Amino acid sequence: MERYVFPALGSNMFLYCRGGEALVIDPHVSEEALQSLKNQGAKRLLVLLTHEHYDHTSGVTWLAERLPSTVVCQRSAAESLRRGRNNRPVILAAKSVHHSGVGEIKALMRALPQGYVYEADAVFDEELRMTWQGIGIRLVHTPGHSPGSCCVELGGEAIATGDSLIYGTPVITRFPDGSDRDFLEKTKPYLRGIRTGTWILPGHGNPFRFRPADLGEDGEGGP
Amino acid sequence: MSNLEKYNQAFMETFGIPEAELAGLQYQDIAEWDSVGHMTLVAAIEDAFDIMMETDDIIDLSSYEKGKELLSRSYEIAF
Repeated sequence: MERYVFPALGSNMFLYCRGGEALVIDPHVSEEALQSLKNQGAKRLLVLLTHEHYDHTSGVTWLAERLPSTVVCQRSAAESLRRGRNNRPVILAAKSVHHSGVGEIKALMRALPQGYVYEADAVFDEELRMTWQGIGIRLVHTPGHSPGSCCVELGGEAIATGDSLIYGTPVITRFPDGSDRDFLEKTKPYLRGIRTGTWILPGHGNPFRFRPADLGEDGEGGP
Repeated sequence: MSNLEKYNQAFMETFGIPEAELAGLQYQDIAEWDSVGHMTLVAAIEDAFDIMMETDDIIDLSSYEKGKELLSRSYEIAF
């Protein structure tokens, strides 16, 4: 599994090639990743989105224009992808207020995808199971950070958790449309069920092996 | 509801503060106006005035007063 980090926002894109196809999780624009896909002979992509936020979807159109892609996400995430207004680097702008290098950041933002609209190929409400290249994949709705958040279970060995579980960082539920209640009532119980030692591929930061302590005592925190 | 009332309401509902605390308020003056709060504020302003702000303007929205100035100048919203 390869990891590419979105330089401006630190979000992770994961990529795995097998049998002329590639599994891509949370794409951003990356010539390096595209070259890797080509080098490994990927002819088709299965693109899975852990949630609808810009830092996890900004490469979806860019990638689909370069390689045939099947995009799968939770229904609320798909609805968000249909609205160009939702697909702007607002998070980068919000982090840059009062920033000393604001001119550079504005220039960077103008080069990023803005206002893209994408129609997902497959959506699900609570759960979706599929097999890709012999690997069993299960997507599970884990709302709270956003309405369309999900976790992607990969063959029982690893879970891409998006921003629903990040090592050492409380899950943020204050975003517009985020829900602390959804996180505590629905997502936290799911996370509690993760087997110790499972590889976690988080939305930000390094992959790590899961321990129950990673969930923290207050329902939102990590160690 | 006047434009000023709509603008004030976006701040008050986003940050949970009374109208009396709006004048002079700047980004990061209060815990609620951090980067996440800023995104919520932008969404509230865009909803209130049915606009889509440029990302440059989202960066420049650094205070209560600056926001009014931006909306007047770039989006023809009179206060």
